[in-house]
Amino acid sequence: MTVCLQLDHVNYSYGAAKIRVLSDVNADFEFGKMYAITGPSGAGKSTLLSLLAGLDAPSDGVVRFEGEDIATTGYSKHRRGHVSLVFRDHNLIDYLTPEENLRLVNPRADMKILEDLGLSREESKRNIMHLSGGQRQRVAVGRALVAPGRAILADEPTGNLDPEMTDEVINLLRHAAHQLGKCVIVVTHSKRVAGSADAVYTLRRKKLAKA
Amino acid sequence: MLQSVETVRDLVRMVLLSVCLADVLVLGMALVFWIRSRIHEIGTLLALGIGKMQIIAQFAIETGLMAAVAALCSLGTGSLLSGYVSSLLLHDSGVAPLESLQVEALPPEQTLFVLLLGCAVIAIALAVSCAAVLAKSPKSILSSMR
Repeated sequence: MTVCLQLDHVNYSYGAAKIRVLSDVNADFEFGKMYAITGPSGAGKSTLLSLLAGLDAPSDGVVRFEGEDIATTGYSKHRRGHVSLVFRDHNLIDYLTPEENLRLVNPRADMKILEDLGLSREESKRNIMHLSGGQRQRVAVGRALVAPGRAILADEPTGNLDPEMTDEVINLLRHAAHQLGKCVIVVTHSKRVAGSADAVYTLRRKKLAKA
Repeated sequence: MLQSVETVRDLVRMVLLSVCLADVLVLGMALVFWIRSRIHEIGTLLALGIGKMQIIAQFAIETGLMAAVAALCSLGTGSLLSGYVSSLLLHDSGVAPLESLQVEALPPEQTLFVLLLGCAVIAIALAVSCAAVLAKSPKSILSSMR
C-alpha cells in the first residue's frame, strides 16, 4: 500500500517556555487503511493531528504527503486538496445549513450522506444553530466525507454520539478507507472506534508507538 | 457682515471636521469589531483550505455592498440635511442678509470626496483588522475559541 501521510522525526514544542509535546515521532499512514491514535488526555494527540493537517508546523522534522514535504506544497493547498478534517468542536459555519456547509468543501457533494448520518431533509436545510450537538457532529463528519481530500483526519468524531450513530460513523469511515481507498486517521478515546481500526497507535510520553 | 460670514464658515468647517473624524473612528472600530466577531468563521475557513485572499475578498465584497447601499441612502438624505443645517446656521447668525440666503446642496465634487473618504476608511479598517487575524495560524485561531 502507498504511504499517504508520513511523520519524519517530528518534534513539537509550544509556548515561550518551549514545552515539548512530541519528541522524534516517526510514523507512516497508508492509503486504504483506518488508523486510531489513542493515549491519555493531554498527551498531544490533537496536536499530532493538527500537524498532519497542516494547521500548524512542527518545531523540527517533516510532515509529508505522498512523499512531499507539506511545507513545500503549501499548508493551505495541503488542507484544501489533500486532507479533510473532522474537528472536535465541529467548527461548522453557523449561518449556513448542513447542505451549505458540505457544499463549502465540495460544490457537487451528494447530500445523501446527510441522510446516511441520520439527518432528515428538513434538518439538512435548517440553520446549523438549530441543530443539536450530536447533529452538528454528524454534519461535521459528513463534510469530511464529501471533501475531495484523500486523507480524513478526525478528532473524536463520535464524541457526542449515541452507540447506534457511533457505529454508523465508524462504518462510513471504514467505507472511506477500504472502499474509497482513503487514509483515515482518528484520534479517539473510544475503545469501540479503536477496535474498528486496522492499526492503533498510542501516544504516550511524547512518543508514538504502534499498539 | 464679512466677519459674520467668516465666523459661520469657520464654525461649519469645525463641525464638519469633527463629525468626519468621529465618523472615521466609529466606522473603523465597527469594522474591526465586525471582523473580530467572525474570527471563528475565519479560522474554520482557513482550516478547510480556503485561501486568505479569498476570505479578504469575501469581506471586501460584503462591506462594499453595505457601503454602496449606505452611499445611496446618504446621497438623498445628505443633501436634504446639509441644506437644512446650513440654513439653520445662517438663520441663527442674526444678520439679515445672511438669513435671506438660499443654500445650495453639496457640490458633486465634495460629495464624491466624502464617498471616496468613506471607501478609504473601509479599506484601511478592513486591512488592519484582517491582517491582525490572518497573521495567526488556523490552529491558534481555533484554539483561542475554546
